[in-house]
Amino acid sequence: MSNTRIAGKAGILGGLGICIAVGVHILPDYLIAQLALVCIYALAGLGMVVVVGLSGQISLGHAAFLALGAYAAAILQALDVPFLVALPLAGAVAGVIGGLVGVLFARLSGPYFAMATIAFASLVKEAIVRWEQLTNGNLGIYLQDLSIFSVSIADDRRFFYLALAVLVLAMTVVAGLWSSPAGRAIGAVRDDEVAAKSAGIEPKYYRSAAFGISAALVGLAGALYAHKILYISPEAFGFGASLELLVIAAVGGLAAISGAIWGAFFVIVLPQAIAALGGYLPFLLEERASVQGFAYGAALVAVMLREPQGLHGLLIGVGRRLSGVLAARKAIG
Amino acid sequence: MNLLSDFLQQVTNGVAVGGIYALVGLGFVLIYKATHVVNFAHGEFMMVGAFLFYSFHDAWGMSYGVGAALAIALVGIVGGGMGRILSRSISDRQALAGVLVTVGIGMMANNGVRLVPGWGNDTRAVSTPFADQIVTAGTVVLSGDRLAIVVSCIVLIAALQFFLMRTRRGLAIRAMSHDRMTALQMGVPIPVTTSMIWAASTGLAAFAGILLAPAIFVHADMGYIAFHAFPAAVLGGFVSIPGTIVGGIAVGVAEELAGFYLPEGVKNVVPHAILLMALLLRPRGFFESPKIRDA
Repeated sequence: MSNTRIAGKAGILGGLGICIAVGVHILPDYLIAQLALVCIYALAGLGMVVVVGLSGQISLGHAAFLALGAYAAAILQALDVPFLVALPLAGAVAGVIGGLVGVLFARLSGPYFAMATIAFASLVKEAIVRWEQLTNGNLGIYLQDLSIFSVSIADDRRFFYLALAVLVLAMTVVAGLWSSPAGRAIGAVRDDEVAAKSAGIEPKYYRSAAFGISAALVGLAGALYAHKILYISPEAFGFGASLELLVIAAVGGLAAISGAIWGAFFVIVLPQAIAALGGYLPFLLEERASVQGFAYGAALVAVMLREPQGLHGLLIGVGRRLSGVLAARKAIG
Repeated sequence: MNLLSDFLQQVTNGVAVGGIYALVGLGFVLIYKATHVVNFAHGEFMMVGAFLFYSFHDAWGMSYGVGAALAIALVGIVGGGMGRILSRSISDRQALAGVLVTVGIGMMANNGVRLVPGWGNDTRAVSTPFADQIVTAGTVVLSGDRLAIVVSCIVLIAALQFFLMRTRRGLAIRAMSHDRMTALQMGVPIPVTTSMIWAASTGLAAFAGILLAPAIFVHADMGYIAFHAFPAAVLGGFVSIPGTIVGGIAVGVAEELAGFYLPEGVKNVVPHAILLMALLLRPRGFFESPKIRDA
């Protein structure tokens, strides 16, 4: 990258940082809490972008890792494990299980793989429900307010900083992976398995690694989610949750890391928009959940048919057209 | 003797349920065979068919036959149109996008149904002319509904087999599934045939939904049962009709036996466990003939 580009990117990041710092101070608590959720969803979306976007494996069962991370976090808290140890541990649990599953499923192609993930998620959910000694079954687990080194993080603003920090860290790691030889290998397997194999890249290995990493990311998101909502139960981790995860990545943009962020905004803003519209069409408010689900599906279809790169692609397209217009103006004088 | 009759009863129930799974699985296989797309919205078509039937038959008083036929036809038409749009917009290489589109359609259908006045989030019961009839064979009891299921499945599958093997359209479909390019060159009208396949598959799903409705009641989430039928299709290698039938019955029987003999909750995961085992042991299915994989 040229010096000007690096300076440009630093400028954007700096500006963003200032906006966030200022915003956190002036925005109402409710919005801060929503932003924290955006960070959590973006983290999960990051995992989905890695598995579906980078690795090309459609998973319809990632809610299982959300659940694994969440329950691990809850159980570790109950065992008085300090948060800074429990969080990575929860992610690791999800990641390791994900890696194992990835190895098992690595031979399966496209639709078969997706079906297997559905089956896996279903098994995990049922296991959570039945293993009552560990998980309290259908009654769920209540978590205590979060505190790190006796500093309470129950405050909305503090939790937002925490979620943001984890997200930024994760994004840095994934960005590093994305442009590394390993990341390119994963992409190569997605693009053309046979070609990759003949270049010495073993598909099974890279596919399962990508799956495991995505599982860890989603697991981390699940752990943070548990600490935010302070109550988890198997209901929250069903097929619908897996679909929502997929929507975050697919609508946001599968080709880039920032897709996860756009997708997270989409998923958080949409219910607000529906609620706002509900002022004019009260019918929408009554059936809020269904309208939301319908909109998710419609967005998914629309995106895949018109702009497979999702919101991220949309923004790039707009950006390009803008710079094209500006350049043309400049040329014409 | 009690032990044996219990066992036989469960097996019989399983065969009935399995017949439905086979039907639903066949729907998957039909579409996949010809277009290599897995329709993840299949279950939702089933559900919509059941809801339409409920409206026609129970809410508006049409006869069983007319209501069912109308529901199936409607779903088939919509499904055919959908297949057309899908195959036109998504090229073969974009398998990912295709799958996601079907997932999205499924979400729209599932939630859309909840928004329809008169359907909503409630669970509905449907009445059938066979509800009060019971057939007994020895100590095994088969309710009229279940018998209707078995008979319908046999008839439908036979009809499907006949259609695929003995008619021109069926030949076209088989040609498409073998080698699309050559089929195109031989004059097979791909777009029309694709629509037909989708129409037939979704119609089958609707029919399965109508058959299932008395047993599991009509509600927005009933489409999830389609995922129980996946293993049936997988066991059939996703291309073999007899394989899918055997697979469906196997899943149905296993489910009923598990529900009866094994602890609570195991029944729910039986189809998924079977699916995983089938996929892991034989990723290409048990009934497929060996063929060269396209690079």
